[in-house]
Amino acid sequence: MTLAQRQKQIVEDINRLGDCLEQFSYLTAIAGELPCAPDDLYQAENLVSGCQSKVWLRLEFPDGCAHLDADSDTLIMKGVLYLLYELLEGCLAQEIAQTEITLFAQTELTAAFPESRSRGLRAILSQLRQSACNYINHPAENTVGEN
Amino acid sequence: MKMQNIRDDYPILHQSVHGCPLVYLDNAATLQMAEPVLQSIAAHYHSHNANVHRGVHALSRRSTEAMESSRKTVRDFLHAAEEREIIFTSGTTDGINILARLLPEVLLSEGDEVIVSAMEHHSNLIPWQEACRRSGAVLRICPLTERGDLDMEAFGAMLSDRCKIVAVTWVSNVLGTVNPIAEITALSHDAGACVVVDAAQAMRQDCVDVRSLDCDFLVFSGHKLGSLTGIGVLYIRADWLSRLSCPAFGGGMLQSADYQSAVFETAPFCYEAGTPHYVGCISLACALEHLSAVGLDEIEQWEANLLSHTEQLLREISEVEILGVPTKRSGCVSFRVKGAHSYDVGLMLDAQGVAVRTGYLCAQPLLDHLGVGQVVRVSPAFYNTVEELDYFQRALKQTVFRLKGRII
Repeated sequence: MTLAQRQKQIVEDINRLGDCLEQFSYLTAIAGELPCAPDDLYQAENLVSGCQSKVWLRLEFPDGCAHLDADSDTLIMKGVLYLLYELLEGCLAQEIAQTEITLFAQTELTAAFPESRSRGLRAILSQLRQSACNYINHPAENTVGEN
Repeated sequence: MKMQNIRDDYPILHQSVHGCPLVYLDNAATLQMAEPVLQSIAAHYHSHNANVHRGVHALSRRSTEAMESSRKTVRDFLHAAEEREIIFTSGTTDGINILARLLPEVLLSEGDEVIVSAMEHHSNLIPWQEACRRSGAVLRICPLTERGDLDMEAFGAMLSDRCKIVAVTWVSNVLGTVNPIAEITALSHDAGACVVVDAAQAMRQDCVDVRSLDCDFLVFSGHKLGSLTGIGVLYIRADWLSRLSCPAFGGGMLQSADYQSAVFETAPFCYEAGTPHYVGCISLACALEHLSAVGLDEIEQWEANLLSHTEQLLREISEVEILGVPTKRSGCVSFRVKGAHSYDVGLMLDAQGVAVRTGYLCAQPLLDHLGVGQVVRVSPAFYNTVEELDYFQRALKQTVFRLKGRII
């Protein structure tokens, strides 16, 4: 399944849930599915700073395919990160660099990002894309996107 | 009190958010603007607008008269002695920053002390940190009691002839604690210190009489009273006006100037360089007049009822922990849901149409000191209803239910 197809499916799943409260509840439920992150994720360079919730994020391509380590101190944001994990895990860097992530805009989930977080959302998406681009330009480096 | 009529003055309250009727309980952050205030702003731009103070033409005169009449309205509201004691600023933060720049010049030397309380908003803490850093003075923090009141015994013990400035909030923006400002002022003056009162959260909880408080300085923001944002007031008691220098320089604050020097205007104009936010001033006066028309005593009483009802509703939910039990609480009550992050609680409430504030509430040192981290704050205003608060409780119960068992 392509990244675009996966994204379409996730958007359909979320929008079937109906209103914002149900979507947030779903996020808190799937938050527990996010795999435990390794200890070395919790470094300043992987922290996407927002006003109220902390997000740690690192996209690597250990064998040419994407592997996302992520965590947050809030359930809703952890749920959001799980959606990104579902979307990106195992994808090729080329595909991530070329596909626009629109699942937030196509659902009510932008409401999960108040103003300070909207900057955070942009930061998350641009960090993911940057990681993919860096890998395409420097495939020899296993870990990318930490700047 | 005719609540339904009052709500008619606030069209913004009659809307849906995420498909639910809006329940706006974030009034400590900003009070909504009443229709008459909105109309006065529109009318000014529609018929009278021009830059103030220097124009000879009719519109400029009208604009100037409206602004200076606003100063008089503010003076009356504060029961200040003179209009020149009323300085328009961009808000509470601006007012405190002006004082934290000007007061050290005439008061602080190395080893002197500034006292603030442990419950200060960042805006009444960080400017004094910087003032102390620059002057070599020591910043001292007056502790709180277990209940969340200011520890007046500790405060009395901290005062000495080294203390030159006491800067304290009248009402805490987190705990809602109402501090005994008149008593603080009397004790501070006995020790030889001047008193800066942060009244940002205090303007609707009591009759504000700067002469009976006997404070040296008092600051507040207009938008918490229903005016435009970007306008606030710095009250400077008249005897200080000749002692302080000007906070900024430029147009509007000069009597005359040559290439090398200038003669400054007298107060209040020497404190208001540049084109003042005159429409903000006009909106502030209109907001104060509107509050007075609703009835200040009625507002105080109704808001006290709503707050105590809020507290009662919160106590009925076993997962909720309320911050503090101050002797007198006003304006807001803050809480956390055991094990849950305030961000998740706030978003789930928003999803049900309820607007509250979450996070550190610009008082991170206090919340860290209390060991609670980020919190949720509810701040009802006079245009809220008991039914809205009951709905808030249902939404919070729903939120707690949905978060239960999923705590990180």
